[in-house]
Amino acid sequence: MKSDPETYTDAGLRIIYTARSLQAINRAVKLGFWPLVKPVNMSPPYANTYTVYQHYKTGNVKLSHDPRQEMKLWGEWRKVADFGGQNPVRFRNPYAAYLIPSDLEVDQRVWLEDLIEDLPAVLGVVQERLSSAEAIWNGQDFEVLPELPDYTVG
Amino acid sequence: MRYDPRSQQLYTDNGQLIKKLNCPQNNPQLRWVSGKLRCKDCSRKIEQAHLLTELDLLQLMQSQPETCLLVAHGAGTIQIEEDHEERP
Repeated sequence: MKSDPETYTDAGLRIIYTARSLQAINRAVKLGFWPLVKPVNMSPPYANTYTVYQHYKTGNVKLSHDPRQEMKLWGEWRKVADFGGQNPVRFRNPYAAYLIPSDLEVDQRVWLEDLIEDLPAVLGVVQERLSSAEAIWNGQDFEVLPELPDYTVG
Repeated sequence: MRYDPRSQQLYTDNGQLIKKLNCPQNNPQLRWVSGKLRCKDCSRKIEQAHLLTELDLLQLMQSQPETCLLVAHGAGTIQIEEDHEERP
């Protein structure tokens, strides 16, 4: 948690901060926050996945985050690192807490500055971990609004 | 897998019907709650079709046919069938 944190985003959303250590959580409690403690997934399914391509004449390098593009990127581009995943985030502790301000209201829209759950950045397309998100406080937990491409449910 | 937006049906690659996606809500409000995808409009479980195999989906629809499926149109594992206009 920052020492002098902002309270609202430019868009007017209440910012909810995350504490990732015992000391930070208990310091926030002394300041009047309620810590909503959650386990931190130690084997997150979402990783930065990409293939690295290099132009064999110029040496330029580009990334593809989409495995479907693999067939489109041959020609003068050569794959130099295969499609693979690397978890970009390592958290020291297996727990973390959203710091709930005492005046947070049910159904209030917020901005989770440091998401604890492992959620995909965009559903269905790129399995990249979402780091921050808009959410709604339901009185017990946050309901995170997913970023969706075109989709059908039923 | 293949999804036909006109009939709203999801098929296996060899044409076996997995499910007709017939949600009565035009624009269901989806949320992540405790890491699980939930619908604001009803309490049914939602599975992301692109994360499961065809076999898993067929078995799921047999054992829990009330489960909702989400077909993300950008997911590489599901082919969205294009509209084909009738030609004379």
